[in-house]
Amino acid sequence: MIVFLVRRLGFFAVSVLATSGLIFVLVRMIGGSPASVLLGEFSTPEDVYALEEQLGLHRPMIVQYLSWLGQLLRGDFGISFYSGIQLSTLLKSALPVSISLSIGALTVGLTIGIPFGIISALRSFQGKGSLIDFVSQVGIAIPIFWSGALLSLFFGVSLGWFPTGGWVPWSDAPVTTFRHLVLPSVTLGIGIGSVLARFIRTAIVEVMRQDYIRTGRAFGMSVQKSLFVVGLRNAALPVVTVLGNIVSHLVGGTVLTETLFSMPGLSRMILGAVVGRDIFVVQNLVMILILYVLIVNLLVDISYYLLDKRLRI
Amino acid sequence: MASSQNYCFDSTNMGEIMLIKKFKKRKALALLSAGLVAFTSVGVSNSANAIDAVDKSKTSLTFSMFQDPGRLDVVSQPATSLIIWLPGNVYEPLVSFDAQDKPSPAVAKSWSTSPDGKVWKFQIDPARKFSDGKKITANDVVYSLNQFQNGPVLAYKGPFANVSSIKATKKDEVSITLTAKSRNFFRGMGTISGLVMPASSDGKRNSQVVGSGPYVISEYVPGSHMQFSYNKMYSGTKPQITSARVRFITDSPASLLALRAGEVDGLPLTSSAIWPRIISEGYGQDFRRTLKPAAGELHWLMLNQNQAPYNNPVFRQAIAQIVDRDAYVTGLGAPKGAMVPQCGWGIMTARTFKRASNETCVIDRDVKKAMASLKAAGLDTFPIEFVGLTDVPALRLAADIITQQLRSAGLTVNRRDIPLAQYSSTIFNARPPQYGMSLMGGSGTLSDFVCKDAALYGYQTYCSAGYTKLMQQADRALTDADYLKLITEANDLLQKDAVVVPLLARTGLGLYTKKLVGWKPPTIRVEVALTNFYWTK
Repeated sequence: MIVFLVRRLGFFAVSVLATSGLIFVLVRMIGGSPASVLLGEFSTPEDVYALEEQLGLHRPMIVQYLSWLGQLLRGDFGISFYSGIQLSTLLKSALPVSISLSIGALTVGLTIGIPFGIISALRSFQGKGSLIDFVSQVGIAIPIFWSGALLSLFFGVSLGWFPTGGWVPWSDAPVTTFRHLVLPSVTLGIGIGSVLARFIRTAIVEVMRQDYIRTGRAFGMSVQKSLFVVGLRNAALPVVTVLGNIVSHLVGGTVLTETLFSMPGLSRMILGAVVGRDIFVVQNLVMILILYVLIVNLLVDISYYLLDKRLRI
Repeated sequence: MASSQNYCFDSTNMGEIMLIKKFKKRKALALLSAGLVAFTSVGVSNSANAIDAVDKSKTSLTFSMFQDPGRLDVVSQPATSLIIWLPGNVYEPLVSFDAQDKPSPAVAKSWSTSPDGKVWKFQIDPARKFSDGKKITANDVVYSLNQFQNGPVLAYKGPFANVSSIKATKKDEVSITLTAKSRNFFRGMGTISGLVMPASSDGKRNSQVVGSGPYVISEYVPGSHMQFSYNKMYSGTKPQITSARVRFITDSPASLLALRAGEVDGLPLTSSAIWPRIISEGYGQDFRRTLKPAAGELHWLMLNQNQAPYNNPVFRQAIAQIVDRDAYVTGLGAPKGAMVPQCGWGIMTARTFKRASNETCVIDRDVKKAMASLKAAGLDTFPIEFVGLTDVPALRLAADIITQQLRSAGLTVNRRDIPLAQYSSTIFNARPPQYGMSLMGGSGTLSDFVCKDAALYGYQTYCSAGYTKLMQQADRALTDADYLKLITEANDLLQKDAVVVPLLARTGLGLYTKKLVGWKPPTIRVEVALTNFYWTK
């Protein structure tokens, strides 16, 4: 286990270094000086030079890169040139929104995906299984902006149960925050649950056809016992892979959801930084996202190790 | 309310009434299939006749805005979401102008000018204080005017074109010297260029806003909202509304849902992308609808003056001759009177504005003649490069219509849609524009095209010595008649050159819940004056 962890953490560190280098180089390959991009159309060469000096762009590239890495390690993300606000301050308000939305969507997704996937697999050739299969396909096909609008219209406008958008910090009024979170989480969670249900169904059907299950059944194991004792653990491997991918891609999914429900989260912040050409903010936010994806992948690998004993040999 | 009657939209259009009735009949439950959710298409049943008695118990409101400014510095950020909210509410100008252009005191309690019109003196009102409790001094005014004069926003520099010095002559007096008499200068002191802010706000305005207006921004959460609270230092009458929240709802259909759900009380400015919905779903019936000429903008085609054959006047004029403005306006499906065909440059409140038609433009519509001139010049088969925007819904349909018109005339149009960010970064970074033709929307004034230095002509690509000369002469005109004559001439020249081809002028369209009244036409560009609003019982 320790060797595995050390090897995996080493790979993680190399990946972080390589991607940080890549981001650093790509931002500088945009063309022209980042200072002139920041200052805009009517900047004078003197203004550009002064800002370059202020941003430390006249130092050797390797010094700039190491300085940036050092800042990141210290948790100093710098100032948004566009808004004049510390990026860490902006992150403090945006991260709780995105994390809450991600957890909410995953919760909805898992709540829908796991039971429906199992039922669909166990009743794969019956009406109930086919219906779940059909519904999950519809769930995958429905675009977020459409399902979100329908949910808002019905539960927000018609019934008035939940707000159609906006955000209140958890510290202000937790119940209100929860109410704000319901519709976006369900909107995002429907797609996640549908994908999961499909994968769980396929994985279980596949596992239930294996020789060891057939042998167990021949020795008198019930279908339920063979599924819950042996089947689920073996079916979990491909599901964990898919879940890892879903979690990695959640940020992409939250862009639409955050926009649709006017939530001041990380995705909208990135979008704003890109539109506002706040390139150093983009650079730091992309790095944070890559770290997030790499950490998720690391956790997926560790869970593989725990779930599949063959990897421990 | 009397003055607002001129602009309030009256739903007496028969087509609209029919649509509204149809909508009511269709008000039904619909199924969200296969285990999803059922939903209903609802109409908020507000009382048709609001009782016009003030409800003094309600002192707060929530509005929605489709854009988040990102930062609050009005000097460097010309975003609609700032210029609609900060002037008048948070900042006050040096002089105020009413709808009839009559000046009245604001930060300056009085003013005088020398006989030759070259020296202006403004006396600061001693009763006015900033929201931080400090008195407004002449130094603050000098600082503020210098900020706009030397700031990055070209449009705000306009009134200072002939200003040679701005000095504090006394603690409460500012003297401004001009190189020549300028009509734009004094008028400009009642616009954003004349807003007054403390000298101590330097470098802090992105997040801290200090002004002398009736409100302060007590909270700004990027991506979420701006909170306005009553400014206790305000020298004027305390308004009925003492707390206002502006929520940033960037998805326009979502803002309509928020209005229907009662989560917001008004959308002072809506995106024209949802105007067809506002008609078809009966919003004009259920909510108070307003049209704001001063908050309007233009749509225009922009041709690249530096690239062949777009730099050929024959080619450009043929394009201007082919476009069907009447059909363009109809195709966009706006409420009646909200969009009108336009051949000249200027929004509906501009002095040069004239409602136009295909026949009344300087270059009138004649497709046969246009194609013949293109053929004679060997340009009839040239493939036009048209660049549209993927993420600006209001302009996407517009681009569909205009490219179809050009194709129907027999031209080849290669359309490519790109994101606004890519478009902006290409055209704004002091690089020459790289696109043949594109469709743009935005507010603009004739002074946007005054081109003193060809290297700084900006994204419009238009730089004409003749035009610039006419505009400079107009600014120095001695009589109003001369002024109007010269800017009309300049406008005609702009049309003949056809580098920018105006298509329509649109108003700003707002929606308010019926019990919230008091909207008035803005006095400072696109201001929404929160002080005018009040709730009725």
